[in-house]
Amino acid sequence: MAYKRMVVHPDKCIGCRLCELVCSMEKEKKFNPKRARIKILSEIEVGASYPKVCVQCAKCPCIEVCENDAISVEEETRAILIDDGRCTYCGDCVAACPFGAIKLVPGEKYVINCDLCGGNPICVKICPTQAIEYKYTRSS
Amino acid sequence: MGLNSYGGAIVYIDLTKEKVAKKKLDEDFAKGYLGCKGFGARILYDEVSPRVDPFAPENKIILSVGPLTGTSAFGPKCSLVTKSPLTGGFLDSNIGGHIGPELKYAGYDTIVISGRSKRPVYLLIDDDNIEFKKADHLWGKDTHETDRLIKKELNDSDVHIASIGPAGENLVRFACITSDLYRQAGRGGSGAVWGSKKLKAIAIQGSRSVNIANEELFLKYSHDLRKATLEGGGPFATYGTMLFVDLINEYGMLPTKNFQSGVFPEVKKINGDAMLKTIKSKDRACFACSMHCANFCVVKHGSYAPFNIEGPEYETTTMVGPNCGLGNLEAIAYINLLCDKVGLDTISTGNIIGFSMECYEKGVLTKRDTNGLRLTWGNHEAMVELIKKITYREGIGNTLAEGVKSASKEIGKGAEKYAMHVKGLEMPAYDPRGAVGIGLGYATANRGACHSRAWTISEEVMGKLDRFSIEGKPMLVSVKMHRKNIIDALGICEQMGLLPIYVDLLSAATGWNVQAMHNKTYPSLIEDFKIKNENIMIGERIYNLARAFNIREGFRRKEDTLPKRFFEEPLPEGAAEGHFINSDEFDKMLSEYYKIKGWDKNGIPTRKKLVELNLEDVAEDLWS
Repeated sequence: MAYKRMVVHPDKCIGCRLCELVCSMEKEKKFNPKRARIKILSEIEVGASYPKVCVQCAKCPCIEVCENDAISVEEETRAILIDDGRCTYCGDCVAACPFGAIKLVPGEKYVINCDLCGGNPICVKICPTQAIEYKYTRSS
Repeated sequence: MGLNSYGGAIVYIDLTKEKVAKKKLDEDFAKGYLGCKGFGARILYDEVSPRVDPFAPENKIILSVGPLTGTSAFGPKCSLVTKSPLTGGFLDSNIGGHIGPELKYAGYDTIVISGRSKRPVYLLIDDDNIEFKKADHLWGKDTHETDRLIKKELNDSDVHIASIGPAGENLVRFACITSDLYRQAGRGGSGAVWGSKKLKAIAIQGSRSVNIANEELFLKYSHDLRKATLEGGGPFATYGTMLFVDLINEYGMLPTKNFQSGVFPEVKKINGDAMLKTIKSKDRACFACSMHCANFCVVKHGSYAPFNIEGPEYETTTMVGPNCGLGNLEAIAYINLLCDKVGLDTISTGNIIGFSMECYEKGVLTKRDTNGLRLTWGNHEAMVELIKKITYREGIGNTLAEGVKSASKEIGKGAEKYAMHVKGLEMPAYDPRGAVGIGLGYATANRGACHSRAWTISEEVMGKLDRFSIEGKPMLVSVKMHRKNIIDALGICEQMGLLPIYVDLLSAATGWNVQAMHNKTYPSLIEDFKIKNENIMIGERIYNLARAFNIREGFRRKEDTLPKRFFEEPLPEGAAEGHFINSDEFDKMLSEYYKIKGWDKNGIPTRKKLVELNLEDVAEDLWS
């Protein structure tokens, strides 16, 4: 079945990190980029920024590597969800993700990943330059 | 839990003793001064006593963020307050980018740095952990190299760093602070104060949260702000401040050849369109800002290619370009990069080179004085060499490194009439003969000649007021001064202005009942903020407090003036041809301004005014 995915356009990203802020507010009710499910990786010397976020791989290395079956695919949106009850914070999924999207919150036993805001990602809504899209793609 | 939307703590760092002390942020203090410049002004007034040498260990560096910093409401600025080595008076300078928000995420509203380290040092601020790190290996390195080396050493590419270059180390009095490579607290010589304390850099990493009193409302308002920015940005989003190069030239007030003219014949080579066509690669933005007014440029041609830079902005372009007779955008961009790296304020640098070139033109400086440099207009190779001499204080560079006011005195032979400054701060890129209101702003800004403390261009040049008349200007400048102090206390960007929505944003963020005070003469402008039940005009209060700092240092009416050129020499060409500022009228304008402000005829805030602003202790200092 066709499904929507997160698609990023680094050429359009201006490095403002507004997405990190609204994400942390949406998910945690406070502003804290370290707790955002999206991260802007910037190489300021060359003026480049790259949004790192889960892109819902067809075959997910994070799920394959997890020994505790803590990661699952949500049926409707295909969001990659982490079950806090099963997760042991081993970090295997963080290492396995080719996009660096899954994060360990520093100093806490807490692994986070984009849940697509239930199919209406807030970061996509607020990005001032449409550097993040949520759409059907050919590969999906 | 601390105050909503604040970091919650002020940290005192003593470089002499390598001691750190933390203090909880007091709610009354926050309500009385908001943040950023407001906090800095109060702490500087209280803790740096009169006549302290700016380079003495007793001078302090006060870095602060505001209540909107680190939120989605475009509050990227971090303010740096200290006693200026250029003016000997109050200095506040803002830095954009990402370091301010990072300081807030580390849990602090303000860091107060005092003392002097024996060895070069840099500070690592990692949430609760604050370390004094050796910086011997960084001393002498430029700001870009320092940024790279610290990130490598800490093995952390997310850390945000502010640093000085060799100019700050060598106490060049107009040295700046560079952060995230392309962002500067440029004006007034704060970099030299860091250098005097042997402070090379501050690296900040924060992982704490900023809590908001009313999240839902705050998000709604910040989305509205974002929408208004995207819809209202227009050409500013594309050109950024480079939009003004053509405009100000058309109005005949673009500083050219050290303010000898207001029209630059080669303007088409260096304007916004030239930038777009030749070097601009993409838009960049400060933290959380939708405007993305910054221009990332990749320079592939010319004598200095290849190199990258975020910029140049309007001020740099004009002061390094037309003001030095230079019509080569690639060279301007390179000189901008060079200044960022060695750590020099581009406005003051362009001003001082323009001054040196005029001295050379008039025969006041000769090749013998300049160690063989031919300081002819537009000679960018000589400019690059001169910047190196200033940075390392070699030959004529050692004289110029003291700032244009001191340098002109030392050079003598009438050089003082070519020195374009107010209170020792070099003038920026608007000729006041083309808009007298901005001249009044230059004369009465606490840090010296500054265009942004009362940016009257919107009303005088783009608006309805007669730009050559003094009519209405004292009130306009007064409104703008208060307004700008609110902008600088909130830590928001001046390019956005003080939009009404900031009242709602601040209320939602803090849970306070914030009220906007509109000016009667200019009803569309928010003049000031007050918080219900506090009854203090916060912007006016901060402005007067900084003024009182200067009064305590001996500044009076005679310092509130402009260089003689603007009273004596009419502009020779262009749309402002024949115009100069009548000195009697200027005096009249100044008197009227003092009256509006509640200052006496010497420019000292009256006891009544200070008491009205709940600054009784300051009134005691000045009047008993």
